[in-house]
Amino acid sequence: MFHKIRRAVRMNSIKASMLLYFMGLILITVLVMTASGYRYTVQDAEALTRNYTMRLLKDINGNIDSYILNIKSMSSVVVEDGDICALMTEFNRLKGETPSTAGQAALQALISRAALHMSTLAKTRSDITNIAVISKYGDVVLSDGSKTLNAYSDYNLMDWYLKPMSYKNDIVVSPSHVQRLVKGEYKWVISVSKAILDPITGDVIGVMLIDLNYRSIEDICENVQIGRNGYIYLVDAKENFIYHPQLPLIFSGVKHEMPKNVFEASSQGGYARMYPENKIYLRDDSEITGWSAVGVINTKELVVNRERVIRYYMVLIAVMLVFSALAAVMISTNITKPIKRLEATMRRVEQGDLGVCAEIESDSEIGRMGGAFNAMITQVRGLMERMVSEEEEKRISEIKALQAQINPHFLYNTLETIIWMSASGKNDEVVRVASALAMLFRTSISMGESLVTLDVEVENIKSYLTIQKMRYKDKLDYNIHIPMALRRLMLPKLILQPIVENSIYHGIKPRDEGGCIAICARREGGLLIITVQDNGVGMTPEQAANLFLPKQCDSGGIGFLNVHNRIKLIFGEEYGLRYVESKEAGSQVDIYLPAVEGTNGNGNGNGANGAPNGTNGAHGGTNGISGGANGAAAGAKGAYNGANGISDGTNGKGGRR
Amino acid sequence: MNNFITRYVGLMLLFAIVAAVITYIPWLDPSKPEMMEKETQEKQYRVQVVLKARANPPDFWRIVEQGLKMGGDEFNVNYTVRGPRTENDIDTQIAMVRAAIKEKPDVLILAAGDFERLVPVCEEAVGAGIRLIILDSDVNYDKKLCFVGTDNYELGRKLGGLVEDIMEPGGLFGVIGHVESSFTAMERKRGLMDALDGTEGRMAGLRFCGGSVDRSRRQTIEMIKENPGITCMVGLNESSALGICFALDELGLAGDIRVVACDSSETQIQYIESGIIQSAVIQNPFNMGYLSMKAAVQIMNGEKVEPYINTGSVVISRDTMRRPENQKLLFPFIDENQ
Repeated sequence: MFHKIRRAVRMNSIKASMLLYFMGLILITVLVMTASGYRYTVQDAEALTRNYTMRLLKDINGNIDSYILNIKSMSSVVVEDGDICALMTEFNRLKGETPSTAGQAALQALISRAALHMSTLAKTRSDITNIAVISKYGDVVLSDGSKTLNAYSDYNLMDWYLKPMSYKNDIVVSPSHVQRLVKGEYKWVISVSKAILDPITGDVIGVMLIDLNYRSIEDICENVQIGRNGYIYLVDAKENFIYHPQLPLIFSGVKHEMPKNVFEASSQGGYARMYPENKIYLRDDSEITGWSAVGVINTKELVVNRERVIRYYMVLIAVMLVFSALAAVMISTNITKPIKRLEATMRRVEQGDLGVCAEIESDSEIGRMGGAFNAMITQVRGLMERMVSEEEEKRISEIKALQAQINPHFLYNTLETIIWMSASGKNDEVVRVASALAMLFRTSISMGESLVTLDVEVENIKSYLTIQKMRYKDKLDYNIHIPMALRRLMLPKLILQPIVENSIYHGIKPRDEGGCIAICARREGGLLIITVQDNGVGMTPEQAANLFLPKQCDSGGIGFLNVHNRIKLIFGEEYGLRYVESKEAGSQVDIYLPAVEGTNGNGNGNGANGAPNGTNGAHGGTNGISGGANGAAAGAKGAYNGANGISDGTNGKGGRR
Repeated sequence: MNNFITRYVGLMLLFAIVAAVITYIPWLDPSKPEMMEKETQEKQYRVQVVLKARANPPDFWRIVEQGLKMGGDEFNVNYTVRGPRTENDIDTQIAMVRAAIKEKPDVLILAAGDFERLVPVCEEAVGAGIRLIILDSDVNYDKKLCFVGTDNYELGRKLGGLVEDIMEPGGLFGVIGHVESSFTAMERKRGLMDALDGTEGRMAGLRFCGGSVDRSRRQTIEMIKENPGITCMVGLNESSALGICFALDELGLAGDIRVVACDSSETQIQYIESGIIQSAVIQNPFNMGYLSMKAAVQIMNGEKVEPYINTGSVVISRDTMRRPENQKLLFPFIDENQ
């Protein structure tokens, strides 16, 4: 869990960031596309509905216009009827007075003819509730003889009666109103009225009225559907409602419609948008009736579709995102896989494995990178190999340089001993010392073989000790105990001599009663341990520690360190010298070596000569001051000085400084 | 690399297929809106309406029904209207309310014929989890959610004001009411009395006709015969007022005794036109029907509804009746085809 979170938080891998950026990009793109697509979809739907509604409104106006024109032509049939004109003229002549009996009969005949004419017309259409003619003096004739006039109707105050008086030629269409002309009838009607003109003078002699059932207009408008919640309504020029699907609610003040001037009539589909009500209003005006048909579109209805459209787009977006995520994972994996492989290869190199080789699958940038990497690794490998061999060479030459160092003081001292002995005629002893010296040098320069058997080394140290015993007489004693089984084991030559030398100069020489040096060897598993022990003055812990430090000036430790380094160079770090604090007085040095069985001769031995001058400062410092006090005898020969470079003659080797 | 291209192309093809399939899932198809209609049909509420009467006259209840129908159609409500033949048939109305409760409607709209006697059935209805809306005539029960109607006390005060305008000094007036125990009659009477405070001596009589025009006519004749000094008669509702007019016609006193009335039927309008009814206070029955239905739907939709919806009343006289705004109130839009 924790791991997962950490991995999720750590978004620095190429794959993760690619995935993130990919998804982000796709999300934004898809959202923008969807938003604009959606906008166009909705706009399209709206425009479509608007156009459709506009067409509907024009249709309705057309229907109403033709309906009213129809009524108009019917009205001219009434108005131009000879009987009716005659009747009106007669009424006007009488001026409301009752005519004579004969006149009355003629008038009644005229009235019944006119009424018959009107009722015939009225019966042709079910939507006409009443046709009436009214003379200038208020004589009313109704189409239906069975109905009587409402005495309180106040028709002479109504627009439908007053307007034709001045309009003369055209019909007047009223808004929907209650017609109270007939007694006991209160119908909502639309009144169409027209002036009755004298056929000769053209004067207004009366008014004709046709009442149209409100249903007739309702029938035209009612079946119009704009979506499910849209509707249309009709208003006249004065904002009077002619038709509305909820006219009673408008009349009773529960509902209100927008004043029509808010939305301009326009053939181009001009419209007004009411955001709080989610409504779009469209208006079309009729020139014949002066009415405006208004269509109301409920935009929520578009929303019904909108929700579906949104849902559709949402699902599409989700699917696109899922697929784009998959694609992103695929692409990023495809790109990062070779990078990761290359990275793993590099890590192996980092851990030291130079034997690797990057797999190259393509010639893409990554492939070329792999190629370059491979080339680099090859070069590094070559370089490393060269370095290793050079190092090896250096090591060998160093060993050569080290093993060649036999303290020159010793040589001078020995020579002086020989001189002294021969001067005093001790011939036998001279021979013994000289032959021991010869033996010692033979070993030391012997054919460059760096490894010798323990046997040879023991012989060598015996020669050395023989010489030293000449010098120190009884003061020095030694015993060597090497088991036969170990005598064939191999070891670097001249490793015992510097240690023994060290024991003599620092352990025994300062001791007045002299001392004894014991050399013995034992085998512990794969280890050959040679112990050099003396019972001399021993060493302080500081002195002992100084043994292993380079550059010490006051003691002869140079040989000691030399041996230590040589063993390490040849066999490795785990081998070398170890100073052991002895319980009794004196010191003990253990030499740790691998137990190597002797196969005679070592290939490395060649070129004891041609080695370059040793630049390694393994034995820097004041060379050869092997106890300045002691070797002082030799100091007379100015050929060397402690601080001077000494070529020890045996081998062309330069000890520096 | 080739492997990758194959897989990538495969993925894209799969995407194209899925996208294409999505377009044809009916649930998502943007070109199919019928489902929404089904949903709205499922949401239809059920409303039971019990009126005081369904007879004609009074026209009043027919117009209420018109309003109910307008609301019911607009809000897509499944509703049933019941009502006794006469306004004073309380027992029938109680039985009808019980029958309405049995239908387990969402809302019960009730015009209570009696202020007290309908309380138990109202309790039954509310106990059955039915939301109660009172229309026009209140009931003495406070767990109704909404009252839709005229402020009848205010109406009574207006009547009183009209009486005061008409009456000559020293004249007497008589009052005919509809159902004594009905809330509307109680409130109107109270308003009338308050408006004519200190004139008790002038009231010749107060009778209740039980909603019957004929009884009102007879009561008027009796009252006038007993009190010849009456110069003004008040009808507390349509049927009482009509009875008064018929009585005056019968007695030949039309025009001599002024009438102050409530509500408007076509016959009553003729009496207003002819001046027999001096003035009338008109309610808005259409709005009562429509607004109570609307309130029912709003309650069901969890919207907040005013506890008292006043549909108002207007004074009309012969001179003001021609005004368009009054015409709209006086001549409700009754659809003859029904």
